[in-house]
Amino acid sequence: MGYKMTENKKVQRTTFPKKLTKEQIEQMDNAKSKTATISRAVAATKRVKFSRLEKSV
Amino acid sequence: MSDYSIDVAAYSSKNIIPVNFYNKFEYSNKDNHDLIMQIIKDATKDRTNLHVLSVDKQEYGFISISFQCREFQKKQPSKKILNIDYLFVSKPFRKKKISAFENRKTSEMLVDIAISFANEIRQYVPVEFLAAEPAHDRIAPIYLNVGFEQLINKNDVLFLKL
Repeated sequence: MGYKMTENKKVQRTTFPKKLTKEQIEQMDNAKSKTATISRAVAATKRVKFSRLEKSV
Repeated sequence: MSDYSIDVAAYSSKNIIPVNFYNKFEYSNKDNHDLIMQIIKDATKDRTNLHVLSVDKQEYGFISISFQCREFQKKQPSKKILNIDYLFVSKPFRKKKISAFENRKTSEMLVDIAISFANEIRQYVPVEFLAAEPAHDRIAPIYLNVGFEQLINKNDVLFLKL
């Protein structure tokens, strides 16, 4: 889920943890949707034109 | 209302030309070029998708996003997670409030784009979480300030329930 440098300066790709503790699973299960955050982000990007397959030139 | 044209263009194996993509941005000496080239290389293999933010045809930065499905418990539905793999701001626009983004920083705008994008994807795929693992501690507040939570006992993993 990200890119980091290892101690020997190699690029390492990290992923979301494959295993979680019971406590971590409960944290995710009980997390509440951040509707205010989502609404604000959608509003902030309402003028953005999304183009999915723009040719790279 | 300003007259800026703000665009987000998606790049994947279908349309990315690595050298051209790399040259869209300006870098500082501290930027890790190997890391950025690895991200671009992964996009050519569809391991991640790149979304470039531009204003009036000038590229300001990009986010790298991928999808993951995790089964943490047997007989329980898997969790579908959209990951922000990397967030990059081109050198001239770092730490600056941008008028086109209503005086917000490019990094903040890129996170908003990821949230907005994830929200849109939910119409087609039941994505539940947006997650990030910032490469530097200084980037974490960008996510925490908009409502991301730190995973218990793994504080470098951040997530937002959609």
